[in-house]
Amino acid sequence: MRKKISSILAVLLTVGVLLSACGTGSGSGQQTMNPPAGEEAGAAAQDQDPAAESEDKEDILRMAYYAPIMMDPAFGGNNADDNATVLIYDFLVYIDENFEADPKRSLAESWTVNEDGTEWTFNLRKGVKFHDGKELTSRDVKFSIDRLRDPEVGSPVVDMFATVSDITTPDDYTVVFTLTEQNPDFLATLYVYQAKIVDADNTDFNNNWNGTGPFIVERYVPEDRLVYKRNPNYWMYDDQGVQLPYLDGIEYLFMADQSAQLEALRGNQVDYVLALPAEFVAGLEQNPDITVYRKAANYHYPIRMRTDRGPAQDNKVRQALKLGTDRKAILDGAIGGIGVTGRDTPIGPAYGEIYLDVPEPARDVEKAKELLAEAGYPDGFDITLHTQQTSPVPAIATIWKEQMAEIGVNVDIQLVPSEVYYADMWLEVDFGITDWGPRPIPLAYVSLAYTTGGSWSETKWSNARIDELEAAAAVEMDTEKRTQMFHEMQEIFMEEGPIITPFFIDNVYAARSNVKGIVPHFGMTLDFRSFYFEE
Amino acid sequence: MDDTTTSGARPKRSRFGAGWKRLRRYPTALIGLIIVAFFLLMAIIGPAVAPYTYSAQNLSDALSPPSPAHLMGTDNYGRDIFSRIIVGSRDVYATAGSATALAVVFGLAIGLFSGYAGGLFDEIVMRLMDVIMAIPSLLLAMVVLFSLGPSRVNLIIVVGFLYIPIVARVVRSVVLDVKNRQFVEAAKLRGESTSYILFKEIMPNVLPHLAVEASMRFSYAIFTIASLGFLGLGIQPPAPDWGFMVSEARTWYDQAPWILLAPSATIAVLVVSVSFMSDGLNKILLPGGVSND
Repeated sequence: MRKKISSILAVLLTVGVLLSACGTGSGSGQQTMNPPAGEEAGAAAQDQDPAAESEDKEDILRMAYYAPIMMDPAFGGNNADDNATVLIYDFLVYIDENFEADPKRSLAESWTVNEDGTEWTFNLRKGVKFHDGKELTSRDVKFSIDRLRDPEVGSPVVDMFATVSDITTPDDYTVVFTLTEQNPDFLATLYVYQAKIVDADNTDFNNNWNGTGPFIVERYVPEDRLVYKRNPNYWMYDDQGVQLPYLDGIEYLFMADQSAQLEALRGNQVDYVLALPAEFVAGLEQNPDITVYRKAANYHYPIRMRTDRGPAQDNKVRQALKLGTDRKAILDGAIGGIGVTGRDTPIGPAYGEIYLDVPEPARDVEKAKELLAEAGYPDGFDITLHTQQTSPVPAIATIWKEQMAEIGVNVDIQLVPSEVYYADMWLEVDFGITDWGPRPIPLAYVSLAYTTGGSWSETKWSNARIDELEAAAAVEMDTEKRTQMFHEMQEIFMEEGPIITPFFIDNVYAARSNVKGIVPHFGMTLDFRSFYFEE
Repeated sequence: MDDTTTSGARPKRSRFGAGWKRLRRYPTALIGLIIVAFFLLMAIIGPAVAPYTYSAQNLSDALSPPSPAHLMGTDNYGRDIFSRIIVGSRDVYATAGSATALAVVFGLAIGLFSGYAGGLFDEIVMRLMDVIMAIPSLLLAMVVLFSLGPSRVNLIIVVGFLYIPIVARVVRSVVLDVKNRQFVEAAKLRGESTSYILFKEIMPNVLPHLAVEASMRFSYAIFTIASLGFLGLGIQPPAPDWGFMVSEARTWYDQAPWILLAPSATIAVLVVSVSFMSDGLNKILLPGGVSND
């Protein structure tokens, strides 16, 4: 009998392990994962007790996200890396939530560009100190960007700085960039994750984080947390003359599961989480203790079609598949409507003017079937849709499969882990769903993926006019003309482009409702300088 | 199982009748058997009796809670979860059953020959088995399925392969115990062929152990396949793979807990039921208390 009970227990235990591993967010699973978080959270809550003396009160923001991998800004590539280092370092030019360069939040307090757009002169803020007390000079700026340009260093953004031919430092507070050709997006280039300004005398960027930024690393426990304290000598002041940042410190707790991050927020173990999947929004918005922040962004999941082989080489087929797609249904079904429907272009409404705002293409099953018949597929055809096993991609595939069935196209879904999809599938397969994150420079999507021979040309699309427009827009300094070029590109995408864009998903952030000063941004990470706790 | 072939050590008739009597003495085993039989029935007739087509989407009816129209509610595509669970049992039985069968056939063969041959051959084969067992099974399965791509056949082969060494060890241990018994010695003296001794004298003694082991493997196979499905390496959507249903439900559980609970509870209930059944089988077939684990 005892044996039986023990075997029953063993089975139940195993099931329990599965369930908690599934991230059901069961209380016990949560706590065993992060016992220290619970303790510290308790301590922090005590600190915030209004009965405690306000003198002693420390405003420590606790946030949960994935662990950073690369602490060297030149190599950091994902949101977690950026989230960890944006606290430590500043940008030469800060691009705000409206895609405007904001000199008040930048290390450069002003800049000028010469007549033909090939020489940019930046005037540095004086008296900016690194965490170790050294003053920031033009030498550090030159060093930081030179590091990115140097192929020997091997930063992933080396190509973005290919048009920079020289960086000179006439004096300690002036930096001059010389470009080989005009670049209307140059300021945005200086705002890529990797372009944070580091200390030129630093030799070990992975372990020595000497920045000029608003927070100083106090403790880094790999696989557990990063603890930051306020930089008491920070250079930036708000409009009332109060020194920033407002927070006394930040605790960044590493949690490898988004459900766990969310449960921690719900359970008041953390105050802030970022880059949440849109599916979570509806559930969170009902909670009065939590405020959800959304920002239109250009994150999209195109269903992309190879145009050099397979049925989609024929534009009639591409048109048919586009006509057979109900974008609104995918937006609602896959991500609960947290975004806007796409127009089969890589450029969404988050970019404002350059976005071509035309009505969403109406679904027309009959017309789609006709087009397929004209293309020689009166009975439809079978395709295999390769994609990654990461939410919401399986949902997009599942809904699209049903829609395609109605026009006679049989979609066979092949899900693989993201690592596999991006290792050897995405540039190869005939039909796939790829995800493209938000970028400060909209032209980058076209340059990378849709020009002839683009380095990430997953569809092998080749369109002479797109190539021309891309090259022209890359150097066009006149905003009006440039907007026209973008609009024409989007028209071409709609008529014969190789992608179906079901939707653009919003960036989603959530915080305890007593956290204020959160300004959602088109990038995934936010400016923590303005965060504060409401009394 | 055919009990008449069992060796002379045990009473011939009434094994089945006695088994039934014993089964009634173990109500948990009986419950387990009934549940396992219920899901087996569903695996056979599921698509015919399911109230909805398992893949039929109805987005306007998404995430609706359990109701008479949808016994277990609907998922984020408005698909009926009850129908998906019922239809999904076919794949569970087919894949877990085939994987178990694969493991049993090869495990039996390896265990029999290796145990009977003994010596260096046995030593080498068993160390090989140890090597396979030393690799964490889920990890090995993931690596193989990553490289071969997920499909029903690959799933069956991988899971079956992982369980061969375990079955082989159980079989071998029984063979080692039996092969020096008198009736085997007697058969050798009679000049019987090796295959006669293996299959007619030794194997019947192995079968009860094998049956218990097979049912244990079956319960593990269900679980492993659900785990792989959870990781997206199981049967591809929109097929109703229980493990993948759990995985998909994770993002919606706070709005619609039923879509997580239904498949999780089903997996748990079936695994526990098979385990109960296996436990009962152990007591009935091996009343001497010879444990299989």
